[in-house]
Amino acid sequence: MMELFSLGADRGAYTEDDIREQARSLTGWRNDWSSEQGAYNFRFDPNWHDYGAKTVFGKTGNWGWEDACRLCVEHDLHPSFFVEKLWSYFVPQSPSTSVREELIALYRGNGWQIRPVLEAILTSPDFYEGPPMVKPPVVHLASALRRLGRHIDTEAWIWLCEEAGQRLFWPPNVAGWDDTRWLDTSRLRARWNTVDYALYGTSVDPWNQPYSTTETPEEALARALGSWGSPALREEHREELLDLARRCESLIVANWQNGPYRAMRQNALLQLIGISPDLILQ
Amino acid sequence: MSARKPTHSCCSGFTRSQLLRNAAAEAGKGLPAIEPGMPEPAGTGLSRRKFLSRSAGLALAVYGASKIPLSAFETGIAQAAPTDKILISVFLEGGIDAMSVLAPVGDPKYAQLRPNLAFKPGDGPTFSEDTRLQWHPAAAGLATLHEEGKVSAFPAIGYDHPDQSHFTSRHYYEIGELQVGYRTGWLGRYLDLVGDDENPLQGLSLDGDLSPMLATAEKPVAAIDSVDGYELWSPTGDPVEAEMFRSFARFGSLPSDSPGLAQVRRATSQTDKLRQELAGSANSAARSPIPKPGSPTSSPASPPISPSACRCGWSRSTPRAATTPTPTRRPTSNATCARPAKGCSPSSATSRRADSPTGSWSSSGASSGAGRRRTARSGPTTAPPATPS
Repeated sequence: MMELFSLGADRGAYTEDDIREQARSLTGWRNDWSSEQGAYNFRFDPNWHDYGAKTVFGKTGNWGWEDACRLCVEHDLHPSFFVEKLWSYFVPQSPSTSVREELIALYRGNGWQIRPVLEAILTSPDFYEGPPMVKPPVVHLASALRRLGRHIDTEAWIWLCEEAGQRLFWPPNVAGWDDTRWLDTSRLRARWNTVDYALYGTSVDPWNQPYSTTETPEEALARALGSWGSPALREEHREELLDLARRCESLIVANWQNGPYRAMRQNALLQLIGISPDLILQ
Repeated sequence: MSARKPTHSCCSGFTRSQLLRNAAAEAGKGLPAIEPGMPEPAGTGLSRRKFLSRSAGLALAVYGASKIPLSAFETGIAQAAPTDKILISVFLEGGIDAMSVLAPVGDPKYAQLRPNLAFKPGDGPTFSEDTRLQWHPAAAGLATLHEEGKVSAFPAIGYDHPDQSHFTSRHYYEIGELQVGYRTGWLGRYLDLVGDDENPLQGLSLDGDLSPMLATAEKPVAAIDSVDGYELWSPTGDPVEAEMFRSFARFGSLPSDSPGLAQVRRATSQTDKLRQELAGSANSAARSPIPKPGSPTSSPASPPISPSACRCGWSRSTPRAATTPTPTRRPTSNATCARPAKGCSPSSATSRRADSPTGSWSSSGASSGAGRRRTARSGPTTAPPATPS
């Protein structure tokens, strides 16, 4: 509660004694357990609460769980922690001192409302001009589905995103996902396969659907980009895809290959656009 | 950290990585020869290298026939470790009370600070390296292994000025460095110094994600957590598929102008290297003296597959599978396809998926033409057939 969500570790916000006293403030929460459901029926049981006086951040009182939360957000070091944490989900560099102070003032001035801070972050030039960040798997998928005009039409997204490292509502631990470590050989492979899955319905069947036998490399790339909602690709990626389209065409050495190979080329372009750095980054 | 997965994981919450961990643990059961210099246990024929690859194989085999032959791992690992030295690091998530495992019974403060929990001198075997410490009675087995020089213990490890954060401490422990922002692990830094530029199997996490210990700055490493081999699906096929992967590899090797882009490029490059490595090994392993239909000896100008005979234009990209059917793929009425596509092997693929814990996908290769219907796959909520724990 203090380290991860309101105050932060190693900022001088609390001491070992504060931790112990806060733990006393939070006593009284219980749950039941069954092998089928795990922990369930969370509830506050007054018989299990420590009603003695506690001293937290130098303030003494008969604190309960609501006080425990209030004391955290009223702490002088809370607004600075909160705005920087929220900022970090959108911009990979720390805010400048002036931006930071501005966000803190917004947060305080609006009675700890999150929305004004979020609006300020989303309209900040840093959000648009800062260096790119790796999208979390769910964001990568959501943006892909939006671009492709597809919806949450299958539960497969759950296990596909889990393989890519993010099952919603199931973080690896209480700290949540580590946004600096989304990609490795296992996770990127899962993203590849997620893109393949998302393209079902967009990609073409080389063998059972007739496909143009005359499509040029330029037309092929234009069609694939169009299917993806015309994302802005870096020039070197665009060139590589165009080169791929040309290489594929040079593979055609027999008449019967004209349609099917072009269809496979279309699928290859669709796949590579979806797994390109341009669509993985935001 | 034990809260990562609930203990009722045998039911709905069971995930693949957990299953793999269990499988890997099972594979290590009763294997005494893990320290240097000891001969192989009689009759087992297991070298340490094979132990590692078998662990991987067993982990994969939990789901049925793996498309990556064990030899693929063995070859990759052998290339990475020509001198036959392999370090296996097992990280057990969870906590243990070090003050009970090696109780400081010789320190008067111990009984004073633990009036109810403290062990008394003589409750368990003495720790021979420091007689002020004493093993927990239930850890007598560890005490024996310690006496035999097979177990080392590092009691009372800590660092100055801890910030009370579990996450900080675990991060330090995993990476072997006292810096919050450090992004490489102690094994990864070693590989950065002496590792190979091309072989991702030199550092292998048998898990759904890469262990922070193995995180490198430059050299390729791999995480493998795979139901059916290291496959990258795509609705393409020979010869277009090879060109597609060539461009994918290019995405991984172009210059970067931001840390985020560099991260994507690195992962892309490593993913493609791993795909190639496992594909290459699979090629040599599955080489058969009997020519198979559609083998590369076919004239390139003649259709490797007759478009009308093949009902499954969708191939999975396990590159090996593209030319030579593996023994698990039994001929079916649909077997004119030289390229075992997603829909082409109902007898093996479908039944295998059906009993895997992540559900099954079936194929409609014969009925609808395009053999790509993964609709029946129901995700991790499906209960596994057996409880491995």
